[in-house]
Amino acid sequence: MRSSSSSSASSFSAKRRKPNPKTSFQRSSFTDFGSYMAEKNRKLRSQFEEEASSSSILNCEASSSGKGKGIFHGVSIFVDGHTVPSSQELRVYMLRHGGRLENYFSRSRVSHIICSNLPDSKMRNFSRGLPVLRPAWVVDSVAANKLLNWSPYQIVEQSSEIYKQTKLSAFLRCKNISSIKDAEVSSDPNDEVDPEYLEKSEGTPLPLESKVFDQPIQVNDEFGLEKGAQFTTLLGEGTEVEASNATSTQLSIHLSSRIDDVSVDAVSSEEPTNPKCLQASDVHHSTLTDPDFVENYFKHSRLHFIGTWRNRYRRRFCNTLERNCSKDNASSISTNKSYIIHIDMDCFFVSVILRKYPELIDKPVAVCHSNNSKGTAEISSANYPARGYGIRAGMFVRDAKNCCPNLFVFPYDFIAYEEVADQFHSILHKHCNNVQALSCDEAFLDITECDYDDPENFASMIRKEIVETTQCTASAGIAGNLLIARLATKIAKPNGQCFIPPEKVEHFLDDLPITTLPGVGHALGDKLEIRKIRTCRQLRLVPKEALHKDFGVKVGDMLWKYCRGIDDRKVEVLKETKSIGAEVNWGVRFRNTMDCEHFLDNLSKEVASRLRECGVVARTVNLKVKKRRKGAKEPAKFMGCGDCENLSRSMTLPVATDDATLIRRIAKQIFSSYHLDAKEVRGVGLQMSRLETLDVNKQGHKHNVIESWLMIPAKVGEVTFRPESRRVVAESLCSSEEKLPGMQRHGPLHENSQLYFDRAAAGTETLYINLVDSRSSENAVSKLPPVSHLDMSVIKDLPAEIISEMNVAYNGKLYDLMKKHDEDQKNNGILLITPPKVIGGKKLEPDATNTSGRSSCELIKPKKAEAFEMMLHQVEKPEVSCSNLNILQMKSTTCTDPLDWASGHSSKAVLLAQNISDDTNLDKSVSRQGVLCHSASVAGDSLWNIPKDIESGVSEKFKNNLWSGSPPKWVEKFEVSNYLILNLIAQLYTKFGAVGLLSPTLQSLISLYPFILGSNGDEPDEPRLYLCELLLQYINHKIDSDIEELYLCCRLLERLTAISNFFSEVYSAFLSRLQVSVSENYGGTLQLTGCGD
Amino acid sequence: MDRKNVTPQGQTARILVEFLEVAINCIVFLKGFYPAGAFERRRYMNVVVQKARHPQLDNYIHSATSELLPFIQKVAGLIERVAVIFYDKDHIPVERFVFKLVISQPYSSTVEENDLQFALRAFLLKLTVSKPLTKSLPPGSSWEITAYFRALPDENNDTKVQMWVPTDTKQWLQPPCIIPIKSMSSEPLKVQLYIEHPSPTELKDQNR
Repeated sequence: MRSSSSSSASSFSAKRRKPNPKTSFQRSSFTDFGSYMAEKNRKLRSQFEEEASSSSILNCEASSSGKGKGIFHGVSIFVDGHTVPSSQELRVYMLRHGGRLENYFSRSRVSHIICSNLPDSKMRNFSRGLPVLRPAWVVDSVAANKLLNWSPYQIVEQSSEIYKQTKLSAFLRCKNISSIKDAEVSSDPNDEVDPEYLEKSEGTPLPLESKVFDQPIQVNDEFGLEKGAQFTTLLGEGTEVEASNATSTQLSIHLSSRIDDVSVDAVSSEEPTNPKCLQASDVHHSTLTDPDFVENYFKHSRLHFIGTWRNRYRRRFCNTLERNCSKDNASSISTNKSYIIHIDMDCFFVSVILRKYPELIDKPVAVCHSNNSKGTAEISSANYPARGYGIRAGMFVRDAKNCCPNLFVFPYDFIAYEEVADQFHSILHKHCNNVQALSCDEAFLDITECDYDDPENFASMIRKEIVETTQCTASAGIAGNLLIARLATKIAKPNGQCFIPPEKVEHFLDDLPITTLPGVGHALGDKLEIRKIRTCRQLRLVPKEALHKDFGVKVGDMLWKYCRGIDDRKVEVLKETKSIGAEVNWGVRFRNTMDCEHFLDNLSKEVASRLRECGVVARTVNLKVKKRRKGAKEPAKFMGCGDCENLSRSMTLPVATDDATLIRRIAKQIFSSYHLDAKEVRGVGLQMSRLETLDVNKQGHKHNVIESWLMIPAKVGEVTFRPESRRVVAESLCSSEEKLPGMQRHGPLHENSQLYFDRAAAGTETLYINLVDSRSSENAVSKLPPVSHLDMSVIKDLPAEIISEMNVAYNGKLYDLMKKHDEDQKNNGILLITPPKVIGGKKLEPDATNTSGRSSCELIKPKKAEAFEMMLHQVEKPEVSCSNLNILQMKSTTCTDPLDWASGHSSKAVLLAQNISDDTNLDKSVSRQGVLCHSASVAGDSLWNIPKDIESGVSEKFKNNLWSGSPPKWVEKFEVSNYLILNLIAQLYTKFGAVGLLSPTLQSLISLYPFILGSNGDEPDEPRLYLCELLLQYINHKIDSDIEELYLCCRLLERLTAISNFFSEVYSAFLSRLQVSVSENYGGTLQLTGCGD
Repeated sequence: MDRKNVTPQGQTARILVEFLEVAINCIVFLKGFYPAGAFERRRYMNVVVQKARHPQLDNYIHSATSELLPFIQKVAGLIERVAVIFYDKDHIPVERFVFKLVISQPYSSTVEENDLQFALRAFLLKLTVSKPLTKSLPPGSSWEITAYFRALPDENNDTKVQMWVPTDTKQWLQPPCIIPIKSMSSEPLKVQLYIEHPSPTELKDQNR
């Protein structure tokens, strides 16, 4: 197909060089080249004069004109390259009309240069000051029998797009034509194009001239003459400047070429096409100079059009496709009498263009992005008249022009292509449900399921409709399977259809050359050729095994089947996209690594945008680089890639992405791993594979964003905001690296439980608040905790990025607050500590929620121990949502370590850090909390501040060795105690206290504080005494080995202090004992206020 | 390491010494005493740690810790604490990182090397994030590694002891403030790491 044309470009690049006459003469026997040439020229001139004098026409004309001289008297032309009429004919004209024709160019003798077009270098080298004219000047002069003003016939190479390759940079960076006016005045060549103007130049065919000329099309002779005259003078100026100042050469060229541009435009307005873009002669075509090269490249790439068309198609026909998919299974069964139509537009790229130029339908026309007859742009499509001249897709324009000098070459018109392709496919989908689009202009139809009487009629009906709708013809091949249908289309073309019924397939294939089979290309064809296999008939004689042996199983099977006309493939709707990428192999020239990186930058952006367009993310990044093969010369194709080594490496990411910066980073990494010299790079391709659809992926993706944490629903009253915000902060700390998707869940659950406790404590009837609804509330929209509730001491230790992210979330208020906080701190010299009022559990497991619900029930109808038994049972039966429970637990424990550091920093921080680590015991603590409350309510108001009191208050059996044994003695004692809280502590400690630490238990208490709050006041003394004793003995137990744990407990108790008097008593007792112990053992005191840094 | 050391005891001591070396490296890095470029990232017990690149610095830490090995091995419990002390320009301590070691005499081989490593690993993890707990160093400060022995080792017996010289470091007048960083207790070995800062009253005394 056409898509191969670009990549195979280099194979057509064998440059046909005309033997340079000069070089051949250098080998002649004359002693000196100069003398030889002089002699030759002299001889040629004498020959010419001889002929001229013998020319009767000249004589009679001369006599008739009465002047004795021809109209071309004094004119000496030099014919360069191919012209119509040919140089021989021109010579005859010159002979007859008194002119002269120089065989070799010489500035002194030649007065006019005649050619169809002239390359830029020649223009620079020898046309300076000499008029370069089209042959029509000679012809017209002869016809008019007078020497016409040559201005309208002037040619400037690289001026109008008919004669010249439209270069990418032309669309962005070419010199503004409006600067011509400047040139007349200031001769400043460096005017940049304004963007608006550029856009126009691309979209509409004619805007350029219209900017310069008032009447772009109606440039009549007069106008042209006038202009021409004007330009001639300018031209003179240009050369003058150049002559006078060597350094200003560039400038003069700019000037002259620009002038020429205009004059040619005047001329070219006679041409059937409208010049689309006008360019200065030195526009930049490569990555070297065009910063937006990638973008432009794809904007003007036909292959890119075809590639992206698929996405477009998918979007457009999405509904139809889906509908068909469901049907697909049913239809595939009855393949018995199926008919496949392969339908293909005839020379699509040309015929779409020709809709606008019906007069050219019978002329040879080709589509190519350049019309430079010396150019190396490839013909992408040619119509049938052109093919008659031997013009094929993939040919260089210059070769095509050699085959057929009258070839009309048009640029692409992607908008029209899109339109026609859409029409084409709409028609197909209208008539047939099972359509496999192969390309923008080609499709398979499975008409088995369609209501048709005769496949041929059906096909012709579709074709007719296509012609009517699109004004472009299509050909169809009809057969029993895809292969034969496709082959039939080849026969049918152009504008025909061919039906090959199954019984005729064998006959049809008999003499078919092997190479016409799809999948048999040059390489395979050559291999078969060696074996003298040329037709399908011959191939059929080869047994399958032999094919397997020679070509491998896959290819062998394919050959075996195809030569028998067997093709099992089904017509299927668009296949899943496997990879998305972008590759540039043209115009890639880098000076240094910076250029490369910039290029990769753009390429990544392009790829990322394509990924986004398709709504997918990808995991594998593959970077292909074409590197100039050692010793390879500059390719024949202008700016082509030439002979290259292909390098390819890929890297797989842990997470699929469509992020341009990430892709760029990987791409650069791979690129640097090649260790290439930037100058050697000829092509770069970036491809993303392992695609994943975005919507599935998105959820996991979003969890990493702090906003998702800040957005956690916060329905509970203001009190809960504090721990909430703290938690957010804490999580943001550990969220940076990896975060389980499920983690988000605990937030809302926690909220719910909080809410639940609040209400339960308030004694409301509605106990069974939405435990079940907890899931639904996850999605609830919520707001940020008020900025004043954020804990500054924690926040300022966050990574800067997170702070800035939060700052954005708070509309910049955060920074202000932080600044203020800093000032405050300086003034006071101490860290600001506000005792936490409410402590939020960091992660509440689902069953913990259950438990808490249950325990608050108990609060209302207190029933002591049995109730707690029940509660623990509840724990075993997760009701609501316990899917992520384990993961959550694990995750939270891993979070603990990095967060613990905060503990020493400020009391806030420690609370927060411990919040995180205590989930494991959360459900315990919940229930314990309940008991605690209850007992507290019974207790009086008496205070024990010193251990003595406690010891005296607690019974004897409690005094010693509470922590000895495993499990510790106190567990048993607490279990049999009359107090709910003690029972509970014991129970939970049994469950979770394997490591023998108390701090998790206290953390749990903190996280469930609101539950207690409601029942403050009448706690009995006894549990408090027990608790104090327990803690004091704990100090003794741990002081040797683990002040960390004691410190932690101390911090936790401090937090509880803020909640109730009950704990403040316990805390003060604990603290005084602890400090004494520490100073005994460590010679210092624990630092419990904020870090005095 | 010597072959003969591959007893459970030797193993534990070796791990401890190794750990101390790494931890001290980390502490010095943490304090920002030298430019960050003087350290390189290494992996120890699967934790990213910092190791001094300068040969002298590296050698000092290495020799100081490895010379502890005989004391830890032979006379268990001889070393009570190992402290990394940072001094101000008057050689008054401003901050001390104290490793309190308790090595129980009869080694029971109940603790697996892996478990021990796991526990010690937690120290390193915590250390890497302990920067906010520390004080910024005044200009002209210095630091040294000090080991607190329960008894002065008999210098005549062991030539290797020469590396460690008795010192009389200035002490704080007031009991210091202690910030625990990490504690670990297992059967043969208990390690606690905490930071000591001069108490606020101490600072006032100095100012006066």
